[in-house]
Amino acid sequence: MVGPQLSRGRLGPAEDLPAPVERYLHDLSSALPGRSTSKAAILAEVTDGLMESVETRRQERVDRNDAAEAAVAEFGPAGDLAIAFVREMAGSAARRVGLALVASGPIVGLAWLTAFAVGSGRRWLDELPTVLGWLPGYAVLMFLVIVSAVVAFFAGRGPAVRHLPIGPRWAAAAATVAAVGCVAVDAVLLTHLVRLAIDGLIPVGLAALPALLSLGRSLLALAAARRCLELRAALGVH
Amino acid sequence: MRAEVLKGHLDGLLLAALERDPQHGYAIIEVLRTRTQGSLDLPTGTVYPALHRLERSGLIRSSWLRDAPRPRRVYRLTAAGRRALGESRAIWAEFSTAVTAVLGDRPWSARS
Repeated sequence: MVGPQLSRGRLGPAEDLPAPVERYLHDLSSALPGRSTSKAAILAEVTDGLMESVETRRQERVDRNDAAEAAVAEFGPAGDLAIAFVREMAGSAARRVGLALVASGPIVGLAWLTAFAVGSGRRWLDELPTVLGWLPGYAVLMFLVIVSAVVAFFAGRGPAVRHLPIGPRWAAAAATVAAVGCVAVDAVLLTHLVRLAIDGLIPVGLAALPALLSLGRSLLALAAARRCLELRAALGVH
Repeated sequence: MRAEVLKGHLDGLLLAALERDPQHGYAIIEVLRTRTQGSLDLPTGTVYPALHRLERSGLIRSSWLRDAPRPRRVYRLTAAGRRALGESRAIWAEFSTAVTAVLGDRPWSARS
């Protein structure tokens, strides 16, 4: 069952939980998507709350199982609790995705521009208009990614949350758009790189670092987009 | 007291429960029960996500106690949380004064 499995992890030692508490945690765990550390933390916190409630009742000489049943009833339906937690998980996930994309953008971008600059013998800043001019709409796509990532970062978590009219659900949507857009941006760069390499305009060795950075970021962005979609799906219409 | 009556004031109540000392989730519920002599009995399940929401907004922050019998998440107010608590108190004072002015004003026949 979920409780002991969870508590054998990094959050603490195993504990013998009453059957109603075990069932409740199992239902809650099933309703929370994914296998993230935030899910484990939620289950550990709810376990502590439930057991605290059980122990409070036990001090009033209530039978252990009855105390556990009462504690579970006090917490309300596991499905409702899960929805409320998923909303918070979605906000936090959106913030992480936004931060990762905003932080990695300049690093990956500079790596690409430097590779092209070294290949062409020009200054890296002079490569920027060339890169942006490869595809009509490429700059628009980059702008969309940046704006979505910034929205996800500020609307997902942090002091700005109190002032923005965007909830965690839409923050997760912004994070998904940013992550998918980032994959598209990297795909365009990689496609162009292959074309340049085939034409012999850039040494393959020179472009290896930015290509690896873009590939790695794309894989992470795809996983992040999937996670955000999963959380949004778990929220349903809530 | 019904939960819907508290709608809009839950955040302020949770911040107030954390004003004196850091607390874990169930202790916060107990603080509110004790201070209101049992008339404020929040549905336990609503408190934990609300605490996560307050943390997401930067009003509280949490840490894990590892030396407790179980892993225990403890919450404490941030500076922004203290400011928000002050604002909640001001809003509540204004609101309760206004409502009391209307609901507290009994008809003439009831006074006699």
